[in-house]
Amino acid sequence: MAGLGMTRFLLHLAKPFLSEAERERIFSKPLTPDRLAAIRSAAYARVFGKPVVCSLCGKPLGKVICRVRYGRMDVLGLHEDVVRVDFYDRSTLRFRHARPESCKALQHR
Amino acid sequence: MLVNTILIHYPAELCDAMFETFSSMAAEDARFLLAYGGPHAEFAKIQYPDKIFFDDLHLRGQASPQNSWPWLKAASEWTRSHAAEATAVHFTECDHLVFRSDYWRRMEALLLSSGKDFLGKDCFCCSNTNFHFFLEYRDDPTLLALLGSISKRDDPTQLWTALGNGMLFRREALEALVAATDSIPCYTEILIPSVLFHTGRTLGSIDEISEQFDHVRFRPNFSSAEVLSLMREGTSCCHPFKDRERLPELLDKILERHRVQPS
Repeated sequence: MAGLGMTRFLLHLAKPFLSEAERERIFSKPLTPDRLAAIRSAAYARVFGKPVVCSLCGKPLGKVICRVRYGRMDVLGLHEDVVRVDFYDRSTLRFRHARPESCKALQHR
Repeated sequence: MLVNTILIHYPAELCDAMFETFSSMAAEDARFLLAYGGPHAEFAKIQYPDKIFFDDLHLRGQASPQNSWPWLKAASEWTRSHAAEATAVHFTECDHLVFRSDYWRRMEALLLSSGKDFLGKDCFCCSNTNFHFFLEYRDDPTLLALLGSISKRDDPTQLWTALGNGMLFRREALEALVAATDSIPCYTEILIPSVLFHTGRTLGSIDEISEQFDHVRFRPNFSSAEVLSLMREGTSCCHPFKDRERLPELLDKILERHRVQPS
Protein backbone atom coordinates (compact mmCIF):
# COMPACT_ATOMS: atom_id res chain seq x y z
CA MET A 1 0.00 0.00 0.00
CA ALA A 2 1.11 3.56 -0.66
CA GLY A 3 2.65 5.63 2.18
CA LEU A 4 0.63 8.38 3.83
CA GLY A 5 2.39 11.15 1.83
CA MET A 6 1.44 9.36 -1.38
CA THR A 7 -2.13 8.88 -0.08
CA ARG A 8 -2.40 12.63 0.58
CA PHE A 9 -1.05 13.40 -2.91
CA LEU A 10 -3.42 10.92 -4.61
CA LEU A 11 -6.36 12.30 -2.65
CA HIS A 12 -5.74 15.81 -3.89
CA LEU A 13 -5.36 14.48 -7.44
CA ALA A 14 -8.67 12.60 -7.13
CA LYS A 15 -10.54 15.50 -5.48
CA PRO A 16 -12.21 16.87 -8.65
CA PHE A 17 -13.56 13.39 -9.49
CA LEU A 18 -15.15 12.69 -6.09
CA SER A 19 -18.83 13.25 -5.37
CA GLU A 20 -19.81 16.28 -3.30
CA ALA A 21 -20.67 14.06 -0.32
CA GLU A 22 -17.30 12.28 -0.54
CA ARG A 23 -15.45 15.57 -0.80
CA GLU A 24 -17.23 16.91 2.27
CA ARG A 25 -16.61 13.72 4.22
CA ILE A 26 -12.92 13.61 3.38
CA PHE A 27 -11.85 17.24 3.33
CA SER A 28 -14.13 18.80 5.97
CA LYS A 29 -11.69 17.77 8.73
CA PRO A 30 -7.87 17.95 8.80
CA LEU A 31 -6.14 15.05 7.08
CA THR A 32 -4.34 13.69 10.15
CA PRO A 33 -2.18 10.55 9.85
CA ASP A 34 -4.96 8.44 11.45
CA ARG A 35 -7.57 9.75 9.00
CA LEU A 36 -5.22 9.29 6.05
CA ALA A 37 -4.59 5.67 7.10
CA ALA A 38 -8.35 5.06 7.39
CA ILE A 39 -9.00 6.64 3.99
CA ARG A 40 -6.23 4.55 2.46
CA SER A 41 -7.68 1.34 3.91
CA ALA A 42 -11.15 2.28 2.66
CA ALA A 43 -9.85 3.03 -0.84
CA TYR A 44 -7.87 -0.22 -0.88
CA ALA A 45 -10.97 -2.22 0.13
CA ARG A 46 -13.10 -0.45 -2.46
CA VAL A 47 -10.70 -1.46 -5.25
CA PHE A 48 -9.65 -4.95 -4.12
CA GLY A 49 -12.41 -5.97 -1.70
CA LYS A 50 -15.34 -8.36 -2.14
CA PRO A 51 -18.94 -7.28 -1.60
CA VAL A 52 -20.75 -8.04 1.64
CA VAL A 53 -24.54 -7.73 1.79
CA CYS A 54 -26.96 -7.09 4.63
CA SER A 55 -28.40 -10.43 5.79
CA LEU A 56 -31.78 -8.76 6.36
CA CYS A 57 -32.41 -6.70 3.22
CA GLY A 58 -29.74 -7.99 0.81
CA LYS A 59 -28.44 -4.52 0.02
CA PRO A 60 -24.64 -4.21 -0.33
CA LEU A 61 -22.89 -2.93 2.79
CA GLY A 62 -19.60 -2.34 1.03
CA LYS A 63 -16.57 -4.11 -0.37
CA VAL A 64 -14.43 -5.55 2.38
CA ILE A 65 -11.06 -7.15 2.97
CA CYS A 66 -10.43 -9.19 6.10
CA ARG A 67 -6.99 -9.42 7.63
CA VAL A 68 -5.75 -10.88 10.88
CA ARG A 69 -3.20 -8.99 12.94
CA TYR A 70 -2.31 -8.66 16.64
CA GLY A 71 -4.72 -11.53 17.33
CA ARG A 72 -7.72 -9.65 15.97
CA MET A 73 -9.50 -9.57 12.65
CA ASP A 74 -9.72 -6.23 10.86
CA VAL A 75 -12.58 -5.79 8.40
CA LEU A 76 -11.50 -3.03 6.03
CA GLY A 77 -14.20 -1.27 4.04
CA LEU A 78 -17.11 -1.29 6.51
CA HIS A 79 -17.02 2.47 6.89
CA GLU A 80 -20.01 3.43 4.74
CA ASP A 81 -22.74 2.41 7.15
CA VAL A 82 -23.41 1.36 10.72
CA VAL A 83 -23.22 -2.42 10.79
CA ARG A 84 -24.07 -5.13 13.33
CA VAL A 85 -22.22 -8.43 13.16
CA ASP A 86 -22.79 -11.86 14.69
CA PHE A 87 -21.88 -15.49 14.05
CA TYR A 88 -24.06 -17.24 11.47
CA ASP A 89 -22.46 -20.57 12.29
CA ARG A 90 -19.24 -21.67 13.97
CA SER A 91 -17.02 -20.10 11.34
CA THR A 92 -19.13 -17.60 9.41
CA LEU A 93 -19.85 -14.01 10.32
CA ARG A 94 -23.14 -12.42 9.31
CA PHE A 95 -23.41 -8.67 8.75
CA ARG A 96 -26.52 -6.53 8.79
CA HIS A 97 -27.58 -2.90 8.88
CA ALA A 98 -28.03 -1.45 12.36
CA ARG A 99 -29.83 1.76 11.37
CA PRO A 100 -33.52 1.56 10.42
CA GLU A 101 -32.97 4.42 7.98
CA SER A 102 -30.68 2.27 5.83
CA CYS A 103 -32.53 -1.05 5.88
CA LYS A 104 -35.88 -1.76 4.23
CA ALA A 105 -36.24 -4.91 6.34
CA LEU A 106 -36.27 -2.81 9.51
CA GLN A 107 -39.06 -0.58 8.22
CA HIS A 108 -42.72 -1.50 8.67
CA ARG A 109 -44.48 1.35 6.94
CA MET B 1 -51.68 18.95 21.25
CA LEU B 2 -47.92 19.01 20.89
CA VAL B 3 -45.25 21.39 22.15
CA ASN B 4 -42.50 22.04 19.61
CA THR B 5 -39.43 23.62 21.12
CA ILE B 6 -36.92 24.99 18.64
CA LEU B 7 -33.28 25.64 19.53
CA ILE B 8 -32.21 28.73 17.63
CA HIS B 9 -29.36 31.24 17.52
CA TYR B 10 -30.47 33.42 14.58
CA PRO B 11 -30.94 37.23 14.71
CA ALA B 12 -34.18 38.35 16.40
CA GLU B 13 -35.91 39.31 13.15
CA LEU B 14 -35.35 35.88 11.65
CA CYS B 15 -36.49 34.14 14.85
CA ASP B 16 -39.74 36.12 14.78
CA ALA B 17 -40.29 35.35 11.10
CA MET B 18 -39.76 31.61 11.67
CA PHE B 19 -42.04 31.40 14.71
CA GLU B 20 -44.72 33.49 13.06
CA THR B 21 -44.68 31.16 10.05
CA PHE B 22 -44.80 27.94 12.05
CA SER B 23 -47.41 29.24 14.51
CA SER B 24 -49.78 30.27 11.76
CA MET B 25 -49.28 26.92 9.99
CA ALA B 26 -49.83 24.78 13.07
CA ALA B 27 -52.84 26.72 14.36
CA GLU B 28 -54.30 24.69 17.26
CA ASP B 29 -52.15 21.59 16.69
CA ALA B 30 -49.03 22.85 18.41
CA ARG B 31 -47.54 25.42 20.74
CA PHE B 32 -44.02 26.67 20.20
CA LEU B 33 -41.25 27.38 22.65
CA LEU B 34 -38.25 29.34 21.40
CA ALA B 35 -35.02 28.18 23.06
CA TYR B 36 -32.42 30.81 22.32
CA GLY B 37 -28.70 30.06 22.26
CA GLY B 38 -27.45 33.30 20.66
CA PRO B 39 -26.29 36.58 22.28
CA HIS B 40 -28.41 37.92 25.15
CA ALA B 41 -28.79 41.36 23.53
CA GLU B 42 -30.41 39.71 20.50
CA PHE B 43 -32.65 37.58 22.73
CA ALA B 44 -34.10 40.75 24.29
CA LYS B 45 -35.16 41.97 20.84
CA ILE B 46 -37.22 38.85 20.02
CA GLN B 47 -40.93 39.71 19.97
CA TYR B 48 -42.21 36.13 20.16
CA PRO B 49 -43.49 35.78 23.74
CA ASP B 50 -42.76 32.11 24.57
CA LYS B 51 -38.99 32.19 24.74
CA ILE B 52 -36.20 31.03 27.05
CA PHE B 53 -32.52 31.93 27.01
CA PHE B 54 -29.59 29.56 27.39
CA ASP B 55 -26.07 30.59 28.26
CA ASP B 56 -25.00 26.98 28.73
CA LEU B 57 -21.89 26.33 26.64
CA HIS B 58 -22.97 22.74 26.03
CA LEU B 59 -25.77 24.02 23.81
CA ARG B 60 -23.58 26.28 21.73
CA GLY B 61 -21.81 25.49 18.49
CA GLN B 62 -19.23 22.75 18.57
CA ALA B 63 -18.81 22.64 22.37
CA SER B 64 -17.80 19.14 23.21
CA PRO B 65 -19.54 17.17 24.49
CA GLN B 66 -22.74 18.82 23.26
CA ASN B 67 -25.44 18.13 25.80
CA SER B 68 -29.10 19.12 25.47
CA TRP B 69 -29.98 18.30 29.07
CA PRO B 70 -30.63 21.96 30.10
CA TRP B 71 -32.90 22.38 27.07
CA LEU B 72 -34.90 19.25 27.93
CA LYS B 73 -35.23 20.31 31.53
CA ALA B 74 -36.36 23.85 30.70
CA ALA B 75 -38.81 22.63 28.04
CA SER B 76 -40.28 20.09 30.45
CA GLU B 77 -40.81 22.77 33.12
CA TRP B 78 -42.27 25.20 30.59
CA THR B 79 -44.68 22.56 29.28
CA ARG B 80 -45.86 21.75 32.78
CA SER B 81 -46.56 25.39 33.59
CA HIS B 82 -47.75 26.74 30.22
CA ALA B 83 -49.15 23.85 28.18
CA ALA B 84 -50.60 21.37 30.65
CA GLU B 85 -52.83 19.85 27.95
CA ALA B 86 -49.86 18.81 25.75
CA THR B 87 -49.43 15.08 25.16
CA ALA B 88 -46.07 15.26 23.39
CA VAL B 89 -42.94 17.42 23.27
CA HIS B 90 -40.91 17.73 20.08
CA PHE B 91 -37.32 19.05 19.96
CA THR B 92 -36.04 20.52 16.71
CA GLU B 93 -33.19 22.78 15.69
CA CYS B 94 -33.48 25.98 13.69
CA ASP B 95 -32.16 24.27 10.54
CA HIS B 96 -35.16 21.88 10.58
CA LEU B 97 -37.72 23.29 8.12
CA VAL B 98 -41.38 22.29 8.14
CA PHE B 99 -43.36 22.60 4.89
CA ARG B 100 -46.76 21.11 5.67
CA SER B 101 -49.23 22.47 8.16
CA ASP B 102 -50.35 18.96 9.20
CA TYR B 103 -46.77 18.14 10.27
CA TRP B 104 -47.40 18.60 14.01
CA ARG B 105 -50.71 16.74 13.97
CA ARG B 106 -49.06 13.83 12.15
CA MET B 107 -46.11 13.74 14.54
CA GLU B 108 -48.42 13.54 17.53
CA ALA B 109 -50.55 10.87 15.86
CA LEU B 110 -47.44 8.84 14.96
CA LEU B 111 -46.22 8.88 18.55
CA LEU B 112 -49.57 7.94 20.02
CA SER B 113 -50.28 5.19 17.49
CA SER B 114 -46.76 3.73 17.79
CA GLY B 115 -47.30 2.93 21.46
CA LYS B 116 -43.75 4.16 22.15
CA ASP B 117 -42.64 6.72 24.69
CA PHE B 118 -40.05 8.20 22.38
CA LEU B 119 -39.56 8.44 18.62
CA GLY B 120 -36.36 9.69 17.00
CA LYS B 121 -34.71 9.85 13.64
CA ASP B 122 -32.66 6.70 13.21
CA CYS B 123 -33.18 5.57 16.80
CA PHE B 124 -31.59 2.19 17.40
CA CYS B 125 -29.65 0.10 19.87
CA CYS B 126 -26.05 0.77 18.87
CA SER B 127 -24.41 -1.76 21.19
CA ASN B 128 -22.12 -4.18 19.35
CA THR B 129 -22.09 -2.17 16.15
CA ASN B 130 -19.34 -0.13 14.51
CA PHE B 131 -21.22 3.10 15.28
CA HIS B 132 -18.61 5.67 16.26
CA PHE B 133 -20.46 6.95 19.35
CA PHE B 134 -20.81 3.41 20.68
CA LEU B 135 -17.07 2.88 20.20
CA GLU B 136 -16.41 6.19 21.97
CA TYR B 137 -18.76 5.72 24.94
CA ARG B 138 -18.93 1.96 25.56
CA ASP B 139 -16.21 2.23 28.24
CA ASP B 140 -17.08 5.71 29.53
CA PRO B 141 -17.05 5.28 33.34
CA THR B 142 -19.35 8.26 34.07
CA LEU B 143 -22.02 7.14 31.63
CA LEU B 144 -21.84 3.47 32.64
CA ALA B 145 -22.05 4.37 36.35
CA LEU B 146 -25.13 6.49 35.69
CA LEU B 147 -26.84 3.80 33.61
CA GLY B 148 -25.95 1.16 36.21
CA SER B 149 -27.54 3.24 38.97
CA ILE B 150 -30.86 3.84 37.18
CA SER B 151 -31.24 0.82 34.91
CA LYS B 152 -34.33 -1.37 35.02
CA ARG B 153 -32.96 -3.54 32.19
CA ASP B 154 -31.09 -6.86 32.23
CA ASP B 155 -28.04 -5.34 30.54
CA PRO B 156 -27.22 -1.93 32.05
CA THR B 157 -24.44 -1.34 29.51
CA GLN B 158 -26.71 -1.31 26.47
CA LEU B 159 -26.46 1.97 24.56
CA TRP B 160 -29.07 3.58 22.32
CA THR B 161 -28.82 6.50 19.97
CA ALA B 162 -30.95 8.84 17.86
CA LEU B 163 -30.31 12.00 15.88
CA GLY B 164 -30.35 15.03 18.21
CA ASN B 165 -32.71 16.93 15.94
CA GLY B 166 -36.33 15.81 15.86
CA MET B 167 -36.62 13.94 19.16
CA LEU B 168 -40.28 13.38 20.07
CA PHE B 169 -41.30 12.46 23.62
CA ARG B 170 -44.52 11.58 25.33
CA ARG B 171 -44.83 14.29 27.92
CA GLU B 172 -44.71 11.97 30.90
CA ALA B 173 -41.61 10.22 29.49
CA LEU B 174 -39.84 13.57 29.22
CA GLU B 175 -40.78 14.44 32.79
CA ALA B 176 -39.53 11.05 34.02
CA LEU B 177 -36.31 11.50 32.05
CA VAL B 178 -35.39 14.89 33.48
CA ALA B 179 -36.29 13.65 36.96
CA ALA B 180 -34.02 10.60 36.55
CA THR B 181 -30.74 12.44 36.90
CA ASP B 182 -28.88 15.74 36.67
CA SER B 183 -26.86 16.53 33.60
CA ILE B 184 -23.73 14.48 32.98
CA PRO B 185 -21.04 15.27 30.43
CA CYS B 186 -21.95 13.02 27.54
CA TYR B 187 -23.04 13.62 23.99
CA THR B 188 -26.81 14.16 23.63
CA GLU B 189 -27.35 11.57 20.92
CA ILE B 190 -26.12 8.77 23.19
CA LEU B 191 -27.11 10.16 26.58
CA ILE B 192 -30.81 10.84 26.06
CA PRO B 193 -31.94 7.65 24.29
CA SER B 194 -29.79 5.50 26.58
CA VAL B 195 -31.06 7.06 29.83
CA LEU B 196 -34.62 6.86 28.53
CA PHE B 197 -34.19 3.17 27.64
CA HIS B 198 -32.73 2.31 31.03
CA THR B 199 -35.54 4.08 32.89
CA GLY B 200 -37.82 1.46 31.34
CA ARG B 201 -39.30 3.53 28.53
CA THR B 202 -39.90 2.25 25.00
CA LEU B 203 -38.05 3.79 22.05
CA GLY B 204 -38.66 3.62 18.33
CA SER B 205 -37.36 5.03 15.07
CA ILE B 206 -39.60 7.24 12.97
CA ASP B 207 -38.03 5.62 9.90
CA GLU B 208 -39.50 2.25 10.91
CA ILE B 209 -43.08 3.47 10.78
CA SER B 210 -43.30 6.54 8.57
CA GLU B 211 -41.80 8.46 5.68
CA GLN B 212 -42.20 11.69 7.68
CA PHE B 213 -38.43 12.01 8.35
CA ASP B 214 -37.11 10.68 5.03
CA HIS B 215 -35.43 14.04 4.37
CA VAL B 216 -34.05 14.54 7.83
CA ARG B 217 -30.37 13.66 8.02
CA PHE B 218 -27.19 14.60 9.83
CA ARG B 219 -25.54 15.95 6.68
CA PRO B 220 -24.95 17.07 3.95
CA ASN B 221 -26.85 20.36 4.11
CA PHE B 222 -29.82 20.89 1.80
CA SER B 223 -29.44 23.71 -0.72
CA SER B 224 -32.29 26.18 -1.27
CA ALA B 225 -32.98 24.62 -4.69
CA GLU B 226 -33.35 21.20 -3.06
CA VAL B 227 -35.61 22.65 -0.39
CA LEU B 228 -37.87 24.23 -3.01
CA SER B 229 -38.08 20.96 -4.89
CA LEU B 230 -38.95 19.03 -1.69
CA MET B 231 -41.64 21.58 -0.91
CA ARG B 232 -43.18 21.12 -4.36
CA GLU B 233 -43.17 17.33 -3.90
CA GLY B 234 -45.25 17.68 -0.73
CA THR B 235 -42.53 16.62 1.70
CA SER B 236 -43.27 17.30 5.37
CA CYS B 237 -39.93 18.63 6.51
CA CYS B 238 -36.19 18.62 5.92
CA HIS B 239 -32.96 19.00 7.91
CA PRO B 240 -30.35 20.49 7.78
CA PHE B 241 -30.86 23.76 5.90
CA LYS B 242 -28.22 26.25 6.98
CA ASP B 243 -28.44 28.98 4.33
CA ARG B 244 -29.53 31.82 6.59
CA GLU B 245 -29.50 34.36 3.74
CA ARG B 246 -32.18 32.49 1.82
CA LEU B 247 -34.29 31.55 4.84
CA PRO B 248 -36.63 34.61 4.91
CA GLU B 249 -37.51 34.03 1.27
CA LEU B 250 -38.19 30.34 1.90
CA LEU B 251 -40.32 31.08 4.96
CA ASP B 252 -42.42 33.42 2.79
CA LYS B 253 -42.85 30.65 0.23
CA ILE B 254 -43.84 28.12 2.91
CA LEU B 255 -46.42 30.53 4.32
CA GLU B 256 -47.75 31.41 0.89
CA ARG B 257 -48.13 27.73 0.05
CA HIS B 258 -49.93 27.12 3.33
CA ARG B 259 -52.37 29.95 2.59
CA VAL B 260 -53.14 28.60 -0.87
CA GLN B 261 -53.54 24.95 0.12
CA PRO B 262 -53.75 24.40 3.88
CA SER B 263 -53.35 20.66 4.50
